[in-house]
Amino acid sequence: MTTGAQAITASLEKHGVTTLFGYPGGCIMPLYDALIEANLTHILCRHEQAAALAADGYARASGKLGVCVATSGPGATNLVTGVANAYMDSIPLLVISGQVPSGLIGTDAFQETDILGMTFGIVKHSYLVEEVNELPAIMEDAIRLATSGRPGPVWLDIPKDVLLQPITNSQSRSDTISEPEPNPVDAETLAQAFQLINAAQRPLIYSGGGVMAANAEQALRNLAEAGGFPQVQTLKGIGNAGSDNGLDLGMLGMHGSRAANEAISACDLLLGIGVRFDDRATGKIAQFAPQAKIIHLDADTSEFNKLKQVDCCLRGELGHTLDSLSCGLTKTRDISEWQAHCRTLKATKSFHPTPDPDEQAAIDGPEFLSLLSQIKPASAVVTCDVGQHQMWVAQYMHFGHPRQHLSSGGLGTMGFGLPAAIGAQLAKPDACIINVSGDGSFMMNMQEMATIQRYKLPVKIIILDNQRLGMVRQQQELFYGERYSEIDLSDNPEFSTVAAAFGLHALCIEARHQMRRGIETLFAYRGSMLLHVKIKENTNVWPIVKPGASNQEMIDPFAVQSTASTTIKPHHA
Amino acid sequence: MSFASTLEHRLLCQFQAEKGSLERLLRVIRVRGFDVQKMELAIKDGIYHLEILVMGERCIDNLQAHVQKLVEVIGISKLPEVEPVTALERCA
Repeated sequence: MTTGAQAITASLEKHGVTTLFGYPGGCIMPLYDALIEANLTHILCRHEQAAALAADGYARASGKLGVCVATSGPGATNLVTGVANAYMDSIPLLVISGQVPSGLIGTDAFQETDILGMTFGIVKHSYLVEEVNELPAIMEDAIRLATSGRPGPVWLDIPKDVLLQPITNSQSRSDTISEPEPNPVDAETLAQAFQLINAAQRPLIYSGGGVMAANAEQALRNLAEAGGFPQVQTLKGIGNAGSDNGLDLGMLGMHGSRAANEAISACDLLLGIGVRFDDRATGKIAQFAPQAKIIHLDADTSEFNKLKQVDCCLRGELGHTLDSLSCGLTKTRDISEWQAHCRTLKATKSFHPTPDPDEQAAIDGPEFLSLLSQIKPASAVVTCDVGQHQMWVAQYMHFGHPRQHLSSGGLGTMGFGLPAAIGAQLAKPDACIINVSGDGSFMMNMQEMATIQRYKLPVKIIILDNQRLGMVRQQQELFYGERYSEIDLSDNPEFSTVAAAFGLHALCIEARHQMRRGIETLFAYRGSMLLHVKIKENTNVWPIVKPGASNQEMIDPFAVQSTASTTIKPHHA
Repeated sequence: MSFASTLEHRLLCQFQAEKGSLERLLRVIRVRGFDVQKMELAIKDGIYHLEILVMGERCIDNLQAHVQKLVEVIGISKLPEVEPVTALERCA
């Protein structure tokens, strides 16, 4: 007779899951026992947080469901950061935790935590499974919920006795929960959108992570092409516009390009596509896109008018909505003057590193990443951690698809990059997976080099080491009167030696003339390798918008002109 | 239940009587910027009927949208500012 644990593995197999990430322990042992016979590959990470983040990276790279497993108590609590990370970025994740036996729940038993209550705020939905006969139906609901609509993590907390019990009468849940499918956008709202588009002289697309979640990149590009619309993206939207798009102005926001932020200020119509008007993207919301009418396309009604009152809301499956707009686009105005202005912005105010002529000089982070972007295979996937290096990757590297740039956007999780690279490599075994990390972030999950070594994953690891918590140092310099507090990491371990201890090949470079050779060696080496790049210690990320300030108030010591001087004036037809 | 002030809103919500579903709903109300002033809960046929007075400065429509997104929620509506019938009467 099938046990609860066997029902879980059977359900995963039925839904095409091949890989799961986890760490065993007392209350989840029945599931690990069932895994022995299951047609599933379990990846043993060395920390539950890394298991959740690896499942997240797997889901981002593949577009499929990520699955992670842990035991009760500390196993479950260690998952929390990874699950919150997936929640904030709308990543489909199935989380399975063991729980103490039913009779012990609420008795403060060994390794008992109320993980259901602890995680309400970071899941799309969650279940405490009390009846084994309901487990197959709950698995169906959970997988459907995680992957449909606006995706997100769904957590199943399962007592040990339920995992062990036989299923005697598999029940369909009478109250099986259904998520309403987004209806096609109604004709009236669509007509209103066309009216706004047709009236616009300076339209601009502002796209985000919702595009990747809906696999709607091509639909977005079709709309941009049909209307000749210039584009900007959020951190999670990088790659949406594709490669070599002359009207792609790059990332907007706190560390966005001056080109993107100035275009936002100047546009008279903003098409927000799969975005949530996050504060890092918008700056002071009252002064965001001050001249623009706004059309907002999203799958999630609760995002409409949450932070910014918009003029037209198009709720629906993003790909269909974008197709409807592309097909109906007939009477757009001549926007060639605006397009020319945006091309000039791109040429003059996007990111171009300024190489130091001294070949012996210390390595500059942005210049190194520009070179990496040129040399890396076009299909490579880059995972980032969080901090200055993350922003430099977003600014100076180029991506043809959003699933090639995996970055912790909403939660900003230091330690995301290495486990995410493990997940991405398992999702795309033949792809070149590169983890670009910082010296602070890397040490938050560097135990996962053991996972890389165990499964012989050819992940390429790059640590940009400035011996600082660079982003914190930068903000202390700019906004806290140069009062530096707890940002010194000059006692970092020798990363090459650490990598060698895990059995990984490693190389350390520190001068500009070593950059190309270092990168080429990294890609030429068969298997995983760590490239330790010692960079200038006090380089800042420019531009920067002070938290809470408007995007027009970018601080950029290299700026040639102020924002106001380049804002084009509307002309009246 | 008294008449609602401009910052007070009376809501009627039906949702599945699942493990934790009430906590889940109350958490959304708190996190999205509202305080519970008064509430009355009844259960019938596995469905919770909750009449609740909340207070907050943020847009009540946004709160409704966030509550509606909860998987267990069947419906949520604003009640007019009149003396309410009880939640039990409402689900009878």
